[in-house]
Amino acid sequence: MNSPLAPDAPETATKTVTLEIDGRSVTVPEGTTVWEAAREMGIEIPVLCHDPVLDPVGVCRMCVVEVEGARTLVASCVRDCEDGLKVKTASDAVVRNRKTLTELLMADQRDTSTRDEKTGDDELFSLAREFGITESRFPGGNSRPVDSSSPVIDVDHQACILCDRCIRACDDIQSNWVIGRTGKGYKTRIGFDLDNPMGASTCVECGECAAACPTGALTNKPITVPIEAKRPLEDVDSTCPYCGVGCALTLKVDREENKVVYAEGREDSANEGRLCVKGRYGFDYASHAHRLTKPLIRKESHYPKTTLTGAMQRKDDGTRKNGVYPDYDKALSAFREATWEEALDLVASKLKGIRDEHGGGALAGFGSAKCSNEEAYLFQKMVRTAFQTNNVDHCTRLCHASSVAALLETIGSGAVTTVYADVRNADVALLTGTNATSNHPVAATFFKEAARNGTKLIIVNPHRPELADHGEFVRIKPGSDVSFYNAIMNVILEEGLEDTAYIEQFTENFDALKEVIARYTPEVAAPICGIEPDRIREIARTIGAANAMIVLWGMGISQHVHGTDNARSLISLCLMTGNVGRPGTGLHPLRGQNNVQGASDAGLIPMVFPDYQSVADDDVRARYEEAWGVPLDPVPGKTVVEIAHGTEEGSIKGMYILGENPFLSDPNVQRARDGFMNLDFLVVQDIFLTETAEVADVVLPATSYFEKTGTYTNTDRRVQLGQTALEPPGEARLDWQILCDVMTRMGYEQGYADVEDVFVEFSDLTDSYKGLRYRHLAGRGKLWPCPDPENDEGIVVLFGDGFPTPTKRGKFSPAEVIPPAELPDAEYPFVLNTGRTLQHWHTGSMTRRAKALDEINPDAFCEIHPDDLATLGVDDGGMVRLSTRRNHIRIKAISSTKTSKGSVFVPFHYREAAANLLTTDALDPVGKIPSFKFCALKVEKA
Amino acid sequence: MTADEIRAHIDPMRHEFAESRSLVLPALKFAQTEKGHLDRDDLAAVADAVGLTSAYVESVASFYDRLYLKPTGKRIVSVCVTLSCLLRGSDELLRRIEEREGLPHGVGTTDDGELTVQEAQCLGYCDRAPCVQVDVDETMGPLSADDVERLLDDLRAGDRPERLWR
Ligand code: SF4
Ligand code: SF4
Ligand code: FES
Ligand code: FES
Repeated sequence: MNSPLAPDAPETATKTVTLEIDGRSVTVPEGTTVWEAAREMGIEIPVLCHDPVLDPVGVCRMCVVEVEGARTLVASCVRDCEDGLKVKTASDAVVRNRKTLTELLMADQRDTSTRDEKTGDDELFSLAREFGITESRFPGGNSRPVDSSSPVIDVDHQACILCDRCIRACDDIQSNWVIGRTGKGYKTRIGFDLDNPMGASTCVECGECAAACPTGALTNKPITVPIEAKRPLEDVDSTCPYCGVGCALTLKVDREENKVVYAEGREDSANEGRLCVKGRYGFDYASHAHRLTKPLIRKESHYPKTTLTGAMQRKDDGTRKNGVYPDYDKALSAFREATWEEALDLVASKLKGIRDEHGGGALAGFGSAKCSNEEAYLFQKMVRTAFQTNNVDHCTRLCHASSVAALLETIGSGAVTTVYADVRNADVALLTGTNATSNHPVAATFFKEAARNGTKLIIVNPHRPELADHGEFVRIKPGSDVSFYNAIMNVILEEGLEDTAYIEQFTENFDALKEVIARYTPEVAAPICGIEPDRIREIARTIGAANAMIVLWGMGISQHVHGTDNARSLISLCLMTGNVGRPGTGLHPLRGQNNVQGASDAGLIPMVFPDYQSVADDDVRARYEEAWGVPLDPVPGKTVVEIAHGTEEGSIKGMYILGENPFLSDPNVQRARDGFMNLDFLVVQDIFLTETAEVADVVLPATSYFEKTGTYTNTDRRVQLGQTALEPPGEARLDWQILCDVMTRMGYEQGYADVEDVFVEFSDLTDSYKGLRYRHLAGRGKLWPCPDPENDEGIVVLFGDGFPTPTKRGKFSPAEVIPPAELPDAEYPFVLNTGRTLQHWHTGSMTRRAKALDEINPDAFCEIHPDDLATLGVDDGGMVRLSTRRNHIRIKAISSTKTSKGSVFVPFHYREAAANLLTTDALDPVGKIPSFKFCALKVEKA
Repeated sequence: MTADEIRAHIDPMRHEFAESRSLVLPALKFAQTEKGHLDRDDLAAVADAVGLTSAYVESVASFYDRLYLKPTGKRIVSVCVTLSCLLRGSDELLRRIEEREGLPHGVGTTDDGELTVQEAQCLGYCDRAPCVQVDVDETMGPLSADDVERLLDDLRAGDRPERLWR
């Protein structure tokens, strides 16, 4: 396995061996296989069961070679090179052998291969063609069945040659452990779990097995247009549009149909070719019939505004009727189509009108972490220059604002200190508040792999994530994080496990921390967090004894009114044990969206310009005023929820929303909805008529991820290039151009030649991106900071020699336990926890329009503990009514022990049962992040 | 059988094995004692008890002829079909069973659910080929086709042996 830290790894003198292959002498490191050595020399030995990304098993014998003196032919994929070995890779005996083997294997194949028909890369059929085998002399036809039960993969057992590649792909690459071999002898075939149909197994549809299969046994089902070998497809290297892992992939594009046909992971990338179900099968929303193709202006007859789509219709069992968006056309009919000229003029004049009458502070903008760095940069530039306000924010506020606040306060940088794959170098990985197999699926494969290779995973969470199967699971009570970590630190200090030298050299304010945590003995914390004192001690010892510990956290940490305190606790824990700045150590808030890091870097934050430069700082402002050529507002702007409240009280009168859907994603969403309806003018730039766009005055048809080029910065600080694969539908326009047009019309002329021009302006103003250009971003992309982009990938592990704070020291920021904003009581006795699922993305506007994802996960549901369901008298799968002090929803209840007794987990994707009708808009005082993970809830049978 | 019952059975032998997956066979054998075969719940329980994936446990269970994934007859008759027995006419024995019991190729479970016939590989009785094993312990040979018919009659008439599967 290649380490992400390879450049820093100590040089060890490797022993070499010298051998002869096909008469040429070659010297290779000891441990190289004959197959690899031959490949180095440019000799391709055919393989079937081998794939360089998998550990070789040597079961098919296709790769046999002749070794002088050996009794039989040897399998080169498993044979290590030795000094003096003489190898012939294509002698007559070898070729005869391979040919017969191919013929034997072909005996069982059908006349045609599904893989050959689809992607044209059936390795067995290619060999048969190469050897001129048209029919087999051997009796065959194993009459094994086909299985098309999976929504994404066709299984043809008859074409299976039992090479084990899918099993290794599922086990060793994705760590999903779904596939085995069932039966024996001639009847053997692969089986899923207990030999279930694939679609009824624990398969998570990552598609790794289909990518690994060399024959027609496992192939991708078509998503958009048929996958056909005769279709000329173009390869477009890009990245995944969904989560913060930012997997690099190659899109296979049919230019004529203007559709992505299928997607493959890119091997030369940080994700090492791995993808999850969203990345591999979730691209078709771009081609959905609901795409907006013309600018829309609300008809006069549709004032005053109401929400247009009615409640989604559902049957009694909670399954839906008539699709997810039954009255989409009705909603569209509230608008009339307009020309770009008319729409843009209207937008510019309305916004200008509000600005001139009420001041820039009456305007606000929501950008999006789904958009590129270029779009984010232009959006905040538009709000700051043309709108003349700092009221610009985006969804990061709702996910990691508290983490970033804590990181900036303590170590002076809001980004991760190391990459997720650095878990490979850790002895201990603390994973807390994260359900990574759903929300960062490919990163999770690296965690599971590390666990298999000896990294101890400690998983701290109130909700049991799948990762709990791969390490030690510590189920703390919801909202009790600070008490738990304070107690851990208490024990570490008590038992002298802290790293005194590190504390001395690199930190400050340690005494203040000591004073606070002295009070949090395990005995004090135990009743709060629900973990026995001795177990707390044990965990503290494990952490204290680790040579390298990495901490990765998600929204279970950040989305609380004490989210900043939670993050401070984790930071203190790392600083105290010296676990920052070395391989296998560090702080890694797993970022949600594909461009959360970049959108923040580009300044979609009300208090700071790009590069986290304070708007209130006169020198900084002077610099940006010079760059942008206009006077800038020195007052920090409002955050997401504050803006929503501003719309309610009328201080915010006009808004521009780019690619966000606060109608489903804001906390206490009914209140937010009422506020947005109150606006004098709302313009929404999006690819669909989202729930938010329904109440817009003007809707601008934007381009999807696949239709544009731009850069995206993933959770690792890795800047990667997304490239244009499709033509925009109808008159939909590139987002960066729309923004420039609006600015120009508002009197602030923009003249970029192309989108890279925007990137250049942004990177020149942003130290951490300095010097980066598109040409550097192929392959693995670049990690910022990247002092030498021509030759280097960028800095993997930050802060080995101090922090970017005024004192160069990391500051301990002690946290006391504060209670959640709303505690359960007699009327609302449950705790509501919201989150996401593997297949859906946020408010579902993309994924519920993606065929495979919607098919796998069609209906809203919540998870309730079986004991609670029994008390309520509700069957597994029955309907419940969930209510909080704010609102109620009706939803299907799934019995699950993942959630603890007294808690209910509700994914927030579903418009027909919007979890955010229930959530509270109480905020963390520092990070201004809402408490999505905790509020009091009532559950009734419905 | 429940995972807890299986755990109670295998826990005392854990120390005997370097790897926990070595416990999968004893666990499967034990789970089979309950009904004489293993259903899906049993396999899942074994996976849970041993700490392996269900795919792995199923791979093992479906490999071994003596682990039954479907209900079997009251008695099990295994006809050796390896070389010595085959040369001495075990195919003849199977043909007779096919005729008499209406089992395709002579193997399977009879319609009345009384008997299960299966092929076996060398039973170590080559000197008494062709041979047949009844259940797991009683091996006999050489047998003629008529002998086999008599054997089947006797088995049908008898009772299901206790502790057969242990
Ligand atoms: S799709 Fe993924 S999880 Fe499913 S069987 Fe294949 S590799 Fe395993
Ligand atoms: S893990 Fe995230 S970035 Fe990777 S394929 Fe899945 S959704 Fe896309
Ligand atoms: S490729 Fe080497 S044995 Fe299959
Ligand atoms: S071949 Fe039948 S017992 Fe050995």
